[in-house]
Amino acid sequence: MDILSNIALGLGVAFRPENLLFCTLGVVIGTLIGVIPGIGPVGAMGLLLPATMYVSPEASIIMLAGIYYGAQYGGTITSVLVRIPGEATSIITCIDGHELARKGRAGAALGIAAWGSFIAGTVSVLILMLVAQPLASMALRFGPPEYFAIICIGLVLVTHLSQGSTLKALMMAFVGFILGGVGLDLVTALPRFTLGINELSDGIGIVPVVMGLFGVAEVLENLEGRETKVRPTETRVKNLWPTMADWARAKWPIVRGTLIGFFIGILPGGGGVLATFTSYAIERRISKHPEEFGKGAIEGVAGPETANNAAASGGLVPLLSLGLPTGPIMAMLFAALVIQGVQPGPMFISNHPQIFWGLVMSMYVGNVLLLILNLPLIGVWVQILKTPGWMLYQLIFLFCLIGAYSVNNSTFDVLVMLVFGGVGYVMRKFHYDAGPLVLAFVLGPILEQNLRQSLLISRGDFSIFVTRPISGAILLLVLLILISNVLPYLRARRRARGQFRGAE
Amino acid sequence: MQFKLNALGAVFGLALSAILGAAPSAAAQDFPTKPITILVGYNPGDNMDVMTRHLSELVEKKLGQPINIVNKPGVAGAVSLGVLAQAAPDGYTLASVVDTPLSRMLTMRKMDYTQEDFAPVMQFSSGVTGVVVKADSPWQTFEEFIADAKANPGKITYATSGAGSTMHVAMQYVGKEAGLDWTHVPYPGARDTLAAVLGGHVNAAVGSTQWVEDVRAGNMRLLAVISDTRMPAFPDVPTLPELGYDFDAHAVSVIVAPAGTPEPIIAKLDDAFHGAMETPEFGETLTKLIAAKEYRGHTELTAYLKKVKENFAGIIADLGIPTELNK
Repeated sequence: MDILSNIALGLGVAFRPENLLFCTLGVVIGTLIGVIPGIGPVGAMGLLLPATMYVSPEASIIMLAGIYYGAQYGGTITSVLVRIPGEATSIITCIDGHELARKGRAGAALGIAAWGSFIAGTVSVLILMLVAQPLASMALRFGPPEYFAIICIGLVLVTHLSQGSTLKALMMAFVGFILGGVGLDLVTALPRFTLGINELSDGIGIVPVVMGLFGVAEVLENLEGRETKVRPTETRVKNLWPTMADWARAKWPIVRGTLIGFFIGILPGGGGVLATFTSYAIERRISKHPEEFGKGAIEGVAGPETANNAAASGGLVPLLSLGLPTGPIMAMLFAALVIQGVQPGPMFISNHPQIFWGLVMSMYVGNVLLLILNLPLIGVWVQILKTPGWMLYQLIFLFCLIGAYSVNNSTFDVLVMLVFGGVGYVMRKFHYDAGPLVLAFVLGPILEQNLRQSLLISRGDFSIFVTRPISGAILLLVLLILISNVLPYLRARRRARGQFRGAE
Repeated sequence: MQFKLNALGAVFGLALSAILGAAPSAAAQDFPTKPITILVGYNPGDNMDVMTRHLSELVEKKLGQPINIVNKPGVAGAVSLGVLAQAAPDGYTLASVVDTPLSRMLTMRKMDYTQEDFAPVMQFSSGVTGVVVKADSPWQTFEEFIADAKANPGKITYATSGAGSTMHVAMQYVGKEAGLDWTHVPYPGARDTLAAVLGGHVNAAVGSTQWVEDVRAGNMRLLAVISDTRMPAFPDVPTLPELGYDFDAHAVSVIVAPAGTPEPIIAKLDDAFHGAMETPEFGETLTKLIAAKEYRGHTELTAYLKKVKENFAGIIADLGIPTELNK
């Protein structure tokens, strides 16, 4: 009954006219910045942060959270239509989403993403309500060895991400590791691979790298003038809505995406990007027709797009129940509360129920708003495909430049993006996949950090990874995945050898 | 023709010297005649960003010119200082940073600039760091914690938000003075170190005041503060010097201008910012962010930063900490 009264309290706050207005404002701004590549929610929230000092704490956090999950909706659109991730969490959607668009099924991809996001948003708000507090204390039990084990799973899955040559995928993963190692060494604070450039001592930014590899490289490839390759073969979009067959294929990926996204979102350092990669890898792994992945599988859109919205709610768990921001976006929400004089922390939910429950219920309202906003707009977004290529790609390039600059107001980042644009173009020409590079680039530094922290704590004793129950269990799972990967290969070899003997 | 040119040159030269000679005082009187830009060395939403934005809102009213805030995050504020060092020394470009990249960092890292490239304007705040442990841990006081670390060499771990940070150096100093064998576990951020303590992965965390809420809620215990004065919020918790460790290094928040900025302009800015930081509104912001109000003017701050750098270089050398400059 307690929960019902809390929900009533939350709804009361969420439906207050000014809060409803700020919620709408937040999700609209979020969708827009999501659509524009490079301009992420962090930048937009940062710009609006000082303004939030003048509204109530509820309105402030409701709007900022709206920007955050609104951006998850918007990011999909650019990924599907022009194969440039509008947000880092939509990188993976570029693969199958854009393939669907080229088959004239952009509407289906966008529709399933919007519905998936809505379902994820709704369900994860429910989970958030029920388990915020117990879950947060469980997340605390994840120390460096446990994170190390989890990231190992992520890396094992990398092999399922790549299309084509495994050797090339591994090479790209190693390049990603090296790029991720640029910057100050965590333990000695001495610079590594910085070439004496001071800007590099904070490492290479993920945004310029991803925008270079995906965005600028795409534009460069299109300068070759092969319109047909880049423009969808069918600009006339026949069906704007997912078909029943699409739904049948997407329903389980949506369920799994919700759970994967929410739980990875809770983990510090996890966040949306890891959630989408994991979801995609899992869908591809268990799919009955894995060969369709990379060629326009609806599951490859439904799963990750669901996961990134669920991760948005999951990230609120450690923030609101422990005062632990798990990433830059959560840090921004944290700051918004602090400047209002509200300290997120263990006492937050009991001391400020109107903020917590108001936010939770407003997220539900916001998800309904986003659905209402996005479904009719799909037709409009798809019109972007009819823009002449020469115009579209100039605009994209312009937005990439603005986006890369706006993260840190840094011209150095623009330079980094351009360099990676050139690298990405060459990689495309020689069929090197950027996916494994980006994944290793993101996960490599976290893997190294947790490995070294674990070994510092154990004073160099590797048994810490297997004697702790959670990390031991996860590493066992990694081993099983690896064995299951190798078995079919061994069996095939034995069969081949058997046939060879038979022929003798 | 020749003559004409020479005459022109002479006139031009005269005019130039007149402008140059007269400019500073005239400019200082009118200053500012156009918008001022403040480079903030951190991300939007960071404590320093929030403080600077509020402070400049108040300064705008005093100086009658708008102030633009531009975030240039990176390398603990060093990126913004690198940009500032190249800016015209006319008082229209300033930076707001924590003093670390202006003082202590210069003793450990190869930087693009030196302390002499800047003219410190004023200091408006000072930060406090503290040593926290989990509430259900056996250590009630800092002395007990140290005694336990002494009795169990190699068993005690402490986390900070980065190797080479002031907190890390402070703990190395304590470790050397007390003859301890304990382990430093670096984390990327201050909140991560607190999660590690709450989850029982490390024994203690050393960092800035983000633990306040956890200490108040009874999840953590504050054993000592790294500062020369006790915190008003926790008057019972001793400082490191009180505990017999003569280590006094804490971060201060400052406004700096490029070296060569005319003294009258610096004085005017110092005055305006000082007035703004003394307002009750700004005091409220500081209280919310759990930062202390502490003022140092241009002259005092310049001497202070120099002293901090020299002291820290001595500590680094004594402890034999490997740095980019001595490896």
